[in-house]
Amino acid sequence: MATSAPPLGRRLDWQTVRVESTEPLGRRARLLKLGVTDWPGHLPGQHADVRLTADDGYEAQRSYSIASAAHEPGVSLAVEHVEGGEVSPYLTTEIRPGDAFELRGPIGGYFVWEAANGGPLYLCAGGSGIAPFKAVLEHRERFARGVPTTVLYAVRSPEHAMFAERINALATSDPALQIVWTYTRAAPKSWRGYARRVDAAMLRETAPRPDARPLIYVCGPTPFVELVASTLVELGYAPESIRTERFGPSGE
Amino acid sequence: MDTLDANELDGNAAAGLLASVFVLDATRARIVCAACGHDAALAEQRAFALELGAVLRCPNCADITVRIASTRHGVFIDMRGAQVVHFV
Repeated sequence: MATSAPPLGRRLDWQTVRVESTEPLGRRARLLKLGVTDWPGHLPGQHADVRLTADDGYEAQRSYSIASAAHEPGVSLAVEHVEGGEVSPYLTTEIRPGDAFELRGPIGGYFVWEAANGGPLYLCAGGSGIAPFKAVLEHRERFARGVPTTVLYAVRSPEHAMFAERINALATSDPALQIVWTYTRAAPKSWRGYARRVDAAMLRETAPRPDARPLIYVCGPTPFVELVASTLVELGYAPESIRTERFGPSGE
Repeated sequence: MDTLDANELDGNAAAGLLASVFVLDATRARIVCAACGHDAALAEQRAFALELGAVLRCPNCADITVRIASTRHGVFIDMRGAQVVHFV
């Protein structure tokens, strides 16, 4: 007689979540604060899947980074508006507090940084690739303030930047944290910093030296990640010290 | 090496589907390519991911290492392209 075996561990399943509030993140993205009832807690850098189901049963799903700090309650997703996309236009322009969708997460242990991993830390973000690093930086602020950390954030223009105030605030109170911006399309008039796409010179100037053995995380659109990761290897950084997370077509 | 496709992602994109099957984190699992022997994390595989599944390819030789399909009959995983899948 067959009896079903008890589950050996926890597999992820979809759950219905409700939007508690939303706020703009720069010009093209939105932060969704979600009310979750069944959430085991997440790690800095993890993501979650969102599934939308139309009235006719058609389903579409996408992955979004969890931007909220792991030690704070709740889950916030950063969603960049992708023109003509199936999911993000709804999430960035139509969804309202109280609306519900399905969520699966938290996901992934590879693109994660915790205080115990140490440093120095070098975080390279392209566009909305900053979202997982916002969670990493808040975790670091709480549990590992002294870890030398440099963030290189490539974004089209100041208006496209996400979490700019929050990230700058973290850095102003912490000499071990340096934020380097590069504006790839339009920089402010008086801007004296980088105003071009990321290249080998910029990486060499901003990253800790290879012999400092930094832990490197790169997140952004696929072409950005490919370029940054391969250039860092050419500059002498060990491939196994570089963790990458790519996402699909974006506004960048 | 073939040309880069902006729609190409990495193994992280298949992680949600894999987490609905495996209890251990699949993104950190090491995949040894059956074609070239390259050893890389599942998250580092090149990926074409769709709602209903994903095709993962070796980051070194681009041969297919893992295919995943989610159907109404369950989740199918074809790992013929991997010599070893090492969960850590």
